Amino acid sequence: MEPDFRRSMGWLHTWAGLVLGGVLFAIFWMGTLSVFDKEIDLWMKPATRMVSSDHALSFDAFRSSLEEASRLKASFWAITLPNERDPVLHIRLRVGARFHNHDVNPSTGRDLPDPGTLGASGFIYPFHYSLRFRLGEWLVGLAGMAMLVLCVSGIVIHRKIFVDFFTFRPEKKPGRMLLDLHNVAGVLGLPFHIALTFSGLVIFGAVYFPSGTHAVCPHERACSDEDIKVSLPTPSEKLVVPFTSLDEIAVKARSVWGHDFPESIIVFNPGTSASRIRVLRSDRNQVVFLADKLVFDPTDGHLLSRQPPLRPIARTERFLTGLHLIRFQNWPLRWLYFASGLGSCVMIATGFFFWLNARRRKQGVAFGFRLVEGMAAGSVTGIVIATLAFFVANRLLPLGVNFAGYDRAALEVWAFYFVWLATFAHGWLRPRRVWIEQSLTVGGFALGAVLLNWLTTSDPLWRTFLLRYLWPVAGMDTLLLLGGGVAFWTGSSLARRARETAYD
Amino acid sequence: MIDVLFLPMVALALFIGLLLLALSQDTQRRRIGHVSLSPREKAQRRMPAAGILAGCLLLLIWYEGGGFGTLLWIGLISAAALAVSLLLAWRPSFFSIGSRSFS
Repeated sequence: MEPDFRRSMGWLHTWAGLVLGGVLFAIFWMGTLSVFDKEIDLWMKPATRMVSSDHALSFDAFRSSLEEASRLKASFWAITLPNERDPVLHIRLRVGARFHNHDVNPSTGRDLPDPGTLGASGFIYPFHYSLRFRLGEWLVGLAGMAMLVLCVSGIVIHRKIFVDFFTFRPEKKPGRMLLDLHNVAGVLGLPFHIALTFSGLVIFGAVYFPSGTHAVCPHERACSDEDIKVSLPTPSEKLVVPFTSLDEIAVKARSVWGHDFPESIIVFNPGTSASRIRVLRSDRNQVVFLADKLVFDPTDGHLLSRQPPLRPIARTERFLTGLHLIRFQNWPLRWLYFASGLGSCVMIATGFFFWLNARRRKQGVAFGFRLVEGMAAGSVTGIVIATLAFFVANRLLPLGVNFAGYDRAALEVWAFYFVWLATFAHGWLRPRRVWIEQSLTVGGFALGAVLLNWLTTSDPLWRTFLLRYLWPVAGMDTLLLLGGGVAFWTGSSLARRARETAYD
Repeated sequence: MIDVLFLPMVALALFIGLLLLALSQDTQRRRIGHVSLSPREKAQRRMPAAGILAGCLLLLIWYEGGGFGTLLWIGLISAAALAVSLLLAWRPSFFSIGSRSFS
């Protein structure tokens, strides 16, 4: 290969990584946590820690909620049954422009108290794909494209990719060791990096290239709800006959599918003659993101339509979507995703560290270097500290607290952003000690989160290990302890090395 | 019982396949103080390694289905390769035993 080409790829790899590495780390870190979003939810919402109901649930038991939705002229009412990862029954409805969510205890049928938190599924997961700002999806898309460029340019500049496949030399100098770690994390996780980045871009394909969708579906809603054949929001017609039994519809759906039970039922336009009932089958036993949809007439309960089989291209798109969203129920694979996600974070972080290490001696006091080091600290250890601060705030803030007009859930999010911003400032103000202090802070926050969970919920680690329904909480606490231990070890190792360097 | 042991056994097989592959590379052999292999000896190690890796993929697809099987293979092969890399870095003596066993 031409040396000039390899050099230009090296330049591209360095600068694309440097400019977008921080955003990529945030995306991959939040994505990695989102693999266990339901389990983190359980940790952050102690009221939802309950034994899964083992008796068959009746949809008709929640009929009063549906009738209430009719009275409120909701544009839809949806009920989702508990599953292995989520023991709570969810009822959602939309009235006007507002969405209402109710978490229900499936055993008692009673509403659970407001958890006062967005949890992982309301904050961490949306942060992963939107960074929680208006044009965030576009920045995530740009970072995703950059990630693909980084993967390809990384392969080009890595001359001995196969020879160095297993090469990690911790005994070498820090620069060589960091590059080895960067290469090992990059090469071993390459299929994961490419598959997840590409599938993420495919999911948002219609956002980045809307003209294709508009050409087929001039009205977006008309396409997504083609089986319903109604327009949203609420039409004005009034229903003249009552709803048929939802349980009967569930039985009919089961007879169509063979043995599978509905996972959720959505009633569009309840209380109007334009009402339709959509029943969704669980898609947790397959990678493909495709819940078989059946549509019923709510007045007499007869089957109106069934989702037709997808064409190969649409099915491929659904496979890539499913591969990325991990809705399936496969614990070994879920853990492998989590480990691979951490591997991606290691790869991005070591890329930063290598760049800094290579220039520290000559440019350590230069403004540009200090700027990048502060950015790297805030982007890598900073976002980890901010996430842990989010967990700590969740356990420290009392339920129902309100401050300056912000409720508890908003205060948790503010804690995240405040701490994140502080880590950037810390990186710029204390360049010599930043990595030591932030590593020790990660350890302190992680340990603090575990202790606070114990003190505020009376669910210590030994108890959560003993009770099957509390295993997600045990897993969260264990990972916090492990992560905290690694952070303490890293911080103390860096401090020892800094002392040795000072004596030399 | 088979359900419980299936994935660990596949992971072990992948580890062995990658171990053979690592032990056929001059760079890794030098690191653990072994002499380089002739091209014929390298092929003797790489052929069964490739067979094990491909066999594991087929086995996973047969047992778990196309989607899950392929994803599990990708995930497990990365995990097994990481285990080989870390052992090579911190416990090279393990490879001396492995090398003798597979000679």
